[in-house]
Amino acid sequence: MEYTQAEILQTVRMTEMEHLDIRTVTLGLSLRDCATESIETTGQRVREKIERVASRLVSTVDEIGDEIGIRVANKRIAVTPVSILTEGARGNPVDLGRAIDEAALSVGVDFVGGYSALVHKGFTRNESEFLDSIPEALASTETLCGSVNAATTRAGINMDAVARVGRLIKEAAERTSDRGGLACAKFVCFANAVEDNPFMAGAFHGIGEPEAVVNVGVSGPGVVNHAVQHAESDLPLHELAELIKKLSFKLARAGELVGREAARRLGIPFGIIDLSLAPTPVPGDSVANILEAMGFERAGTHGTTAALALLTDAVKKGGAMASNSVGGMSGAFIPVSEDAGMIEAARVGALSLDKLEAWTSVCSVGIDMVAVPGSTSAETIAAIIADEMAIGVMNNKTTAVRIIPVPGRDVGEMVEFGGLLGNAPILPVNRFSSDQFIRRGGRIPAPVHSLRN
Amino acid sequence: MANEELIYRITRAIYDRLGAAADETTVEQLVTDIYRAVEPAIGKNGSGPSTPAQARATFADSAAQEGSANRIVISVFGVDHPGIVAGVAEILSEAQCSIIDINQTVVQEKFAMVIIANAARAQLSVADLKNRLRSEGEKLGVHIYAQREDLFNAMHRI
Repeated sequence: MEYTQAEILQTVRMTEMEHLDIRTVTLGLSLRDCATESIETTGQRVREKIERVASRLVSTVDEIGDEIGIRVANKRIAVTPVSILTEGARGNPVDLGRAIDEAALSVGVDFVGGYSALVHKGFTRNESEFLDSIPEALASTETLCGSVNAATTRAGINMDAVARVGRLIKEAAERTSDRGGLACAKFVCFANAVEDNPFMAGAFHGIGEPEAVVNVGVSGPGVVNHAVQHAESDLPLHELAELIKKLSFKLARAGELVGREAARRLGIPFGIIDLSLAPTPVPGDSVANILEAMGFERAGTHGTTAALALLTDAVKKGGAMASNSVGGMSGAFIPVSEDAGMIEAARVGALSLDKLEAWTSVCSVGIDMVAVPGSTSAETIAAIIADEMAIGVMNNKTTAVRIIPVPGRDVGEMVEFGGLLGNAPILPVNRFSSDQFIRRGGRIPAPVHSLRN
Repeated sequence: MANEELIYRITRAIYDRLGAAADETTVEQLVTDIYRAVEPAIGKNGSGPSTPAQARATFADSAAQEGSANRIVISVFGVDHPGIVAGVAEILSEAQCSIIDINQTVVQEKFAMVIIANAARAQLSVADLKNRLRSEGEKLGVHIYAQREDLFNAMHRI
């Protein structure tokens, strides 16, 4: 036989028992040719274009998933940052957000990303107004996700944007207080945002991207978790890294197969494969459990930053060997509410906001799907974001914050978002004020290592 | 390779005589038997007839070049009892899928079988075939998974 029984068993076990799935096939779509002087007309053109280009996306991807035998959990669309489309146009940007949402619902995708603005160095007049529209747009739509890029290593941190994002997160939570502040789960603030990221809430179709492109986000913490759990307990760490690297290679190859096939059938070029280990609330499909299997009582304790560094790096190396189209975030995600192991670790007090922040210096993104008390001030949220932006800018990596100040809830309570977004225990924030620092505004200059020319 | 061409010609001749509706398993058996019979005459490997396994491997190699997107890996696991192989083979035969390779073992009453089937001339869509296999699996009390072969190629071969 061309494959050994062990090889066939391993693949079947991964896809059927260890939740190996493709987290998302994301169609990146430029909407720049839809911009007009009126937001209403732009909305019509946008709706028509999305419905035309993405009409077969969901059925094609499901068909491929079924044939190959790997579930594709989500089908998504990422569009040109909407703030670019509203530049110089009359009308309310929220209407354009709604038009995009309607088109996404009509083609049957799970999420559409791109209600975004790139303001790392400053705002245009339009972007300043656009930022104010984000809470309403996210609260009044179903599938629409938004993001703000507030910092880059080259430009430094736009602290005015950070302060405003703190306020808009509070407003978005208030507008969806009946749903636990759900609108905040659809918003992320970035440093060094990635233009071809297929993952939500931060996906948008960057301005350097082609007309349309198919990007794939692979998942697979369950597979790595199983392997680490079954490895000998005294296996040295470099050998554990090797084990993870080899598995990650296989995950990436499976993802690329699905992505290239989808691209071929849709007649759209293949973009990148993002190798991030993206957990789900299903037991075992957890990044926290992988860390614990490496030898910790609970995720979040001392040493887990080192373990996460090993994991992220091994995943990247395996993926880089497997495909020459690796992009996006590529590492490990640590969303608290979407990972059963994280939820448990936070619930028993092993995992704090401070440790999550430390992890973000070595993982692929940042403070993700963290619920904090509804009473947390906009300034404190902005300060949490500022810390995260600083880690990204100084370490030349993408970092992000997706935080939900849950209205009316306090530390120790749980909040339920449903589906892939899961549920989260509300974590305490530092009770001392950061207000004056945030109110200063201005910019934190780019670091010296931005001067690389 | 001359032998591949020979196998192809034998297969072609059998199908021409029996028609496309011929039973795949019988055809494959006939091809193997005829190939074994004529092989010494054409002096393959210099000495004596090859084993059926070798003949089958050559058969599989030639099929591999057709492109693996048409091939399906069917894995069956469960508690052993009579009729599992027959049940799966019947569905494949009805769907006009030929079996390229088959490997079956029973260890401590646990049944495990892997079939690589060629679906290039299949009468059913992959989704329908999977549904048939799934319901047959429920009837037989075993798990049946069907996945395109290129997944295994991507994951396990460089």
